[in-house]
Amino acid sequence: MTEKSDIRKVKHILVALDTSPHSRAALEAAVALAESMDAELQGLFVEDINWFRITKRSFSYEISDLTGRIRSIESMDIEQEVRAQATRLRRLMDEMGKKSKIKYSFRTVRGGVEEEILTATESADLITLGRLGHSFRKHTELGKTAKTIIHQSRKPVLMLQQGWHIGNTNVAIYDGTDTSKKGLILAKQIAQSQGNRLLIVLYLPEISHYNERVEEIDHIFEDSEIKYQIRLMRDSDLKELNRLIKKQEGGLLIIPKNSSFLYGEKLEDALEIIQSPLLLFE
Amino acid sequence: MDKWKELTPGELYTFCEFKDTAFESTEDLQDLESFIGQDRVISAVKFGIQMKKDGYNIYALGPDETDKKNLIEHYLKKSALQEDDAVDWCYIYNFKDNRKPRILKLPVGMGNELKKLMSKLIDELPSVLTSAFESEEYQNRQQVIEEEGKDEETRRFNELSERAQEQGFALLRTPAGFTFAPLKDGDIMAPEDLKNIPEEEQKEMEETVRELQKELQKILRKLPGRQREMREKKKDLNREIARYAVNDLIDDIRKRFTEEPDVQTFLDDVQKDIVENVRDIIGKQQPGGGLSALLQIQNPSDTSGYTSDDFSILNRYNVNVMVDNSELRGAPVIFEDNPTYKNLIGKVEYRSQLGALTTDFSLIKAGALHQANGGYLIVDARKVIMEPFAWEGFKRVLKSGKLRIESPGESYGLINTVSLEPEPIDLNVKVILLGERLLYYLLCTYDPEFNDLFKVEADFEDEIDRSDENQLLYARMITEMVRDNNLKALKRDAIARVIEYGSRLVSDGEKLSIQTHDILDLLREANYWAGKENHSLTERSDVQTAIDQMIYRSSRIRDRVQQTIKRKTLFIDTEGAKIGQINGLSVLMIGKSMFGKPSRITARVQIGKGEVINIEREVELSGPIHSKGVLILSGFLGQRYAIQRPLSLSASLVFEQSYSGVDGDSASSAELYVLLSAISGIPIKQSYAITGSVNQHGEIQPIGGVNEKIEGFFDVCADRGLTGEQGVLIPQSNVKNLMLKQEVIEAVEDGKFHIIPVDTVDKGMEILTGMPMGERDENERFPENTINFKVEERLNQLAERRKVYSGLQNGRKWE
Repeated sequence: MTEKSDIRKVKHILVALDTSPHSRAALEAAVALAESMDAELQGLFVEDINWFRITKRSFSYEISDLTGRIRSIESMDIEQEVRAQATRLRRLMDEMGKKSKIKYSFRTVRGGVEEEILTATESADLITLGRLGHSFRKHTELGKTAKTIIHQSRKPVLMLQQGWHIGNTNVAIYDGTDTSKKGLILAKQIAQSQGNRLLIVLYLPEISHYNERVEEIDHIFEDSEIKYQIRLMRDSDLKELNRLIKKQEGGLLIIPKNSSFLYGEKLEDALEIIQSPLLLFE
Repeated sequence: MDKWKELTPGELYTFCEFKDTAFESTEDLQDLESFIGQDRVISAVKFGIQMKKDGYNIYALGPDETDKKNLIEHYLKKSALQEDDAVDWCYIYNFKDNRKPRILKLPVGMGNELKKLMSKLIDELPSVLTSAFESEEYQNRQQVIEEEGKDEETRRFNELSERAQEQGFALLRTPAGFTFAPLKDGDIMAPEDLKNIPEEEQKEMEETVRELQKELQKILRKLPGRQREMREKKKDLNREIARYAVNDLIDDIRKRFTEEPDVQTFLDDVQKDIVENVRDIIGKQQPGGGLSALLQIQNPSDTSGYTSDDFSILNRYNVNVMVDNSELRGAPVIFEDNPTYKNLIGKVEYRSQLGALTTDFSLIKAGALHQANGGYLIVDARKVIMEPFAWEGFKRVLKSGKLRIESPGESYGLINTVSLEPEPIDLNVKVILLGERLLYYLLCTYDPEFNDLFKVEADFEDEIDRSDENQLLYARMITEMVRDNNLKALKRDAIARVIEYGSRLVSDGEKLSIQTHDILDLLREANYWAGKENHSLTERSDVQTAIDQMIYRSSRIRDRVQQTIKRKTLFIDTEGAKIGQINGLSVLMIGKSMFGKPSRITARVQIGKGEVINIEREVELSGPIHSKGVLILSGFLGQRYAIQRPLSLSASLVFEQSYSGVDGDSASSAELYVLLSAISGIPIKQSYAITGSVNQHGEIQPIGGVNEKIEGFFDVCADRGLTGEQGVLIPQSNVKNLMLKQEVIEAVEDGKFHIIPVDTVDKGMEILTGMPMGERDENERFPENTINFKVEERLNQLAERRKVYSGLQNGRKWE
């Protein structure tokens, strides 16, 4: 197989926006990637159709999450609030986009959140979004939208949450499969554009293929100047993986959705254990 | 007429002879190692040093040429070694009010030690804290706190959400909060579907929604409290981890300062501050963080690269060792050469960063008073008074006993910007001002605070008696100067010549100048000339050459004056005799040069009312002392000649060809002689020049500059060719001041020039006229052919004429 044929160069990044701090982290990461990869960035804000449906009832009330105050809501109220959100997000995007001098656009669409995002992913090479939105879930959990996108999108998905950054070191899991090779190539693209170091976790329950796998890795990177390090893991210990990532001051984890490393775990459960920005791909 | 007695060559100059002392040169002599002739000063300085009460600071007064600084420093240093060691003065951050840095007083040498240890702490702190806060234990515990809080919230929301679902509602997020939406087949019910529901059921649904909303409200209202609780738990965790992380670092420092309670308090504050600000400390160390990226943090203890924000975090724990006395033994002795306000009192510096001025406690700089605290400060009085604000600031500090660092603008209320107010320091310093006498007397008279602050007067002698013992001490003083300045040794006769020069400096054969700067200059220059002559030791001739060259270099104007006399631009007679004309002598001081010059004084007499007109005074060219001298002449005339009848003359006196001011009364005897000549019509010998002040009794009083005056007239006569008739009349009481140049002595020895001491006007007049003065007989008459007779005769004639004139005026004819 050729290293490059199945991975397109990332030229078009879609970032799904809402007003949560996790979405902001995703936007910052998307801007950084767009800048380093010379890609175009599109921001998408979905006005959840359900908000407008609920106003067309006789007993439409909204409970403020800040004060707990109850008020009845009219469609005009929702329109205003939604417009205000859109304006804020547009301004944020303008601010970040201009600062980084990237090509960017922003659009608003009304509909089902997951559906609209999935529709928009058709024209994107990479999707970024927050792990969860405004929610009282634990930050380790994945939100409903994130789960849907992970499962249904065929494109690479980058997820972040508040307080996380791409960092200076990327981490890629390699188990010798074609998919994990694609992951390495993607990791190489990203590391090259960002000037980052790369930690390659060589997942080999059986040590016998070690040299072969290492040669494969060296071959993939022979034409680049990326500094990389190979670390062997024989068990798919996600907690150990977390510790390793933290020790490296990483960093983005690039991992195939169907990686053997995640075998034995339900994908969402596995992803909830991993405590770093994630780039999932097929 | 008494025969006068002129001076012999031996009386014109006091040679130096070292009796009963055998040495060939300074190489055979020991250094003096003390100070000659300054017993009064030494006593004053010792008293001032030992007197520990306020206000007993010392003013050392004397001419600049006396070596005040060296003497004072010598005794202070000697005393300082016996005193307790000084302390180190440090400024540290005030955690309660950052505008008021605190003072930390430490035993000597410990200031720097503490600074080094704190710098090391600052260097290690970020990495130690970072490690602690990146440790797995901390991450886990923090996560547990977050999850505990979150778990509870999530549980309640989930419960409510489940309950809502059970009741057919979904808990939905809205742009600004939450809402409950009815479900149909697992999806949000469309509005059209809702309309189809019977009203009764709708009401029930509404009721259910209300209940659910109340539940949600309760959850939401408890959120802030739970979040606050979580934040407090996180803070406590941070404190615990920070405390644990820094404990060892700080304890290491504590152990070195167990005897210093102030240091222990400081370390307590530091520890507390670190714990409270740990996030900022770690956060500021992240690369590319905000403004710090512009200023490139190199080293946390390097203060130059920080913004005031960054700076304030870690640098708070630094120590500003303002005065480091670790190299010093005993009390400090400081000489401040440039006593500006800031150099004395200290200052707070500012750094400029991105257009703004910032400061902090590390920019507090010590002044001389800080350096000298616990010891002694020597300052030049004139310099400190001339510096703006310095004198007033200095006095204020001495009076209050507190050293407060503030700019003059702040202390005078001119500047009100927010700046630092460093804690004042208790001042314990003895100040020694070095200055001129005039300045001291002016300060005593016009500065009301001065006398309270400088009670000890250390008055330097200018001269000492020229005894045999002192000559030898002087020779040893010369020896010390020669060695200290790496000069060639002086031969015995060269030393003698220097000593004689010392006498000439004070114009007194019985005294020696101890204005050592002048002596040192002579030694240096003699050394130079000895080198020119390839002498291995400095000889008498080298010293003489040095003296001659000094005089030559500064005598352009003197030579010009002599030339004008020689070319008869200035009229001076040195032969013959004239009525009403005499050679007076004056001394001119220009720069470093002092020389004598003859001046023609003339007198004219006419009928008048008895006044003696000083023409110089009439045109305001006469100083008060000169005017007084002239007025005394009237007193003399009146006392001698106006007992029976009033004086009926008007006499005028003038210094011919004098166009600048005249002061002093050293020419008053000459003026009296010429007046008597004018009255009597007896000519005065022009081959003599006269100097001497006279009183109303006709006694000749001493004058200054006698050597220069004699030499001035001698030079004129020698230039024209000495006739053997020429000379100078000087006051008898000035004989001891004679230290004339060799040319004059040789001329006197050859009989070509004469120096005659006189003690009365009568004697002087007899010498100048060759006539006896005369004394009244039993009939109160002067003998004929005497000067007095002639004077009285003329005065009587003038009186008669005046009577006739007055009678004619009144229309009466006198029989």
